[in-house]
Amino acid sequence: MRQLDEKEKYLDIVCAQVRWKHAHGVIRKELGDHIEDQAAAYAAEGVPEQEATYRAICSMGDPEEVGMAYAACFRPKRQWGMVCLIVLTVLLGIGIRLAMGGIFGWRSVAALVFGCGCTALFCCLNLYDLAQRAWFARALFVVFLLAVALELGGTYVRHAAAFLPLLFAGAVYSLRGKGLPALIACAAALTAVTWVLMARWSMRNYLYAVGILTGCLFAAVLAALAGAFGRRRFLASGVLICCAAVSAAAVVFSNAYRMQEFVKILLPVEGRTMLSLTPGLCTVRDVVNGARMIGRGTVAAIADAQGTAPVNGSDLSLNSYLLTQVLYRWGWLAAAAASAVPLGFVSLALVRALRLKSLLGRMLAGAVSAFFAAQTLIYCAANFGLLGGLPLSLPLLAGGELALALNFAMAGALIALFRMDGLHADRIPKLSKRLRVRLEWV
Amino acid sequence: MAGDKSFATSSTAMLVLKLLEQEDMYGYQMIEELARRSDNAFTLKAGTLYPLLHDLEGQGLIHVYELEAENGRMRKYYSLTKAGRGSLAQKEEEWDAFASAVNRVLKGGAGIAST
Repeated sequence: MRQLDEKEKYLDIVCAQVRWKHAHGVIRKELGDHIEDQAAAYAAEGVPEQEATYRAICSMGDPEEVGMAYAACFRPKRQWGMVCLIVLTVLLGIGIRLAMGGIFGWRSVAALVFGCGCTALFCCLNLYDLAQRAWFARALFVVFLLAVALELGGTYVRHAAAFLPLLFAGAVYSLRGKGLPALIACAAALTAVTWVLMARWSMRNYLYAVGILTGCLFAAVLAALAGAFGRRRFLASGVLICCAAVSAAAVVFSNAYRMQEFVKILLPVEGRTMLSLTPGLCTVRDVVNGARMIGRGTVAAIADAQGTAPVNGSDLSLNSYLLTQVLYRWGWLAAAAASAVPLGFVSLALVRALRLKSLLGRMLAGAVSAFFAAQTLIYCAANFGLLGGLPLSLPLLAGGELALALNFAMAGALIALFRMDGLHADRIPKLSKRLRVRLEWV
Repeated sequence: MAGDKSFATSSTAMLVLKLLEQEDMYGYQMIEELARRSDNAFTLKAGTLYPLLHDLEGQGLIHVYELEAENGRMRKYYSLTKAGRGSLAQKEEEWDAFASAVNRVLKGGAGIAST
C-alpha cells in the first residue's frame, strides 16, 4: 500500500508539469508500468518489495524534470487550421444565403447553435478509447444498423446514419488479426450496410447512401491494406471493394424501377431534375448552359421566381442547389470559389486522416473524411448538371437543419481524432504473431 | 551547454534507434539492453527514455503498438520505421565521421603546431 502511495505521488508530480490533461493517462501508464518492471527486477535479485519499489522510483529521475520533458512532447493540439476552415465554410454558407435574400430564421440559428454545441461535444470525446473496446464497438454498430434498417425514429435515424462509417470503422478495427473469418465478417457487414441503405431506402436517398457506403468502404480498405486481415493485403482489399460493388449492383439491378431511377441519376436528362418541381424554375443544365464567367446567367425563368421575394432559408433549392444558384447569379468564377472551400476542407481532412499515427485513427478519421468527400463531390456534380437526382447536403455549407447539425458533429469527431493523435497505440491482437501482421501503412 | 545537450540527445537517439534495428522492444527492455551492450557505460533513466521515444515517434522514426505481456498487462512496444532506418544509417555515418576526425586529432596531429 505504501509503495502504491509513493508511486502515485511520483506520478502526480510528473503529471503536474504537463498542461494537457488528456496526456496524463498515457504518462501514468507508461511510467507506472516501468516502475513495476524495474521493481520486479529488483525483487528478483532478492530486494524486499518495498525497498524494490523505492529504488525503482529513485531510478526514474527527478519527477519535475521528467514532467517537463513530457510537457515538451505533449502539447495540446488546437487544430486551429481545421477550426478556421470549418468556420470559413459555415460563414460562406450563411453569407451566400443572405446575399441571395434567404431568410435566416430561428430554426436555422437554432440548428447552427446546436451544431456548434455538437462540434464542441465531439471535440472532447476520446473516440480512440471508445473504439478500443471491441464488443462495445461491434454491438453499437449492429444496434445502429438495425435501427436504420427498421427506421426506428424515422427521418432522424435516417439522418443519423451519417455516423455509420464511424461505427463501422470501430467494428472492423476490432476484427483485426483474426484472418479469413474477420475478412468474411467485414465483407458481410459491408453487404449488410449496402442492403440496408439501398434496398430499404427510397431512390431519393441513394446518393446519401453512396456517401455512407464510401466512408465504410474506405475504412475497410484501409484496414485491409494495413494487413489487418492477413498478409494478402491487395487481395483482401479487392475482395471488399468487389463485395460492396456487387452488393450495390445486385440491389439496384434486381428491381426494374430502381434500375431506371439509378440510370436517371447517372445520366441526367434535360428537364428531369428536382429543380423543375418548383414553379418558374428551370433545370440545372439550363443554368449551366446559360452561365457566364462573371455575372448573372441568361436563363430568364429563374429571375422571375427569385428576383422579387426573399427565398426562405430552408427552401429546397437553396439547400440542395446552392452552387447552382451561385452559378446562375454570379457566374463560374464565383461558383468555383464557393466549391473550392468545401473541397479544400475535405481534401485537408483526408490528407490529415491518412497521416495519423495509429491504424484506428486512420480508419475512424478516414471513414468520416471519405463520407464528407463523397457528399461534397456528389453535391458539386449534381449542382453542375453532371448527376441527376436530389443531391446531398454540402458539408457545413448547405443542407437541412438536421443534416447540418450532424455534419458539425462529424467535424467535431474529426477534430477530436486529430487532437488525440499520438496518445493512442494500436493493440496487436493475440493471433497476429502467427499471421505476422504489419501495421505500418508506408 | 545547449550544444552539449543537443549532441547528447542526438547520440542517445542514435543508440535507441540502433537498439530497435534488430528487434522490437519495450521501454524497460531497452534500458536493460543498452546497459548490457555498453557494459553499463550507458545507464539511461526512464524519465529520459520515454520523452525521447515520444519525440522519435512524432518524427515518424519509430512506430508504437501494444501487445499483451506474460502477466496479462498491455505493454508498449516500439519498432523502427523505414524513415527510422534511414535516419539511423545517416546518424551512424555522421558518428563514424566525427569519431574519425577526433581520432585523427588525438593520435596524428601532435607535430604540426610547432612549425
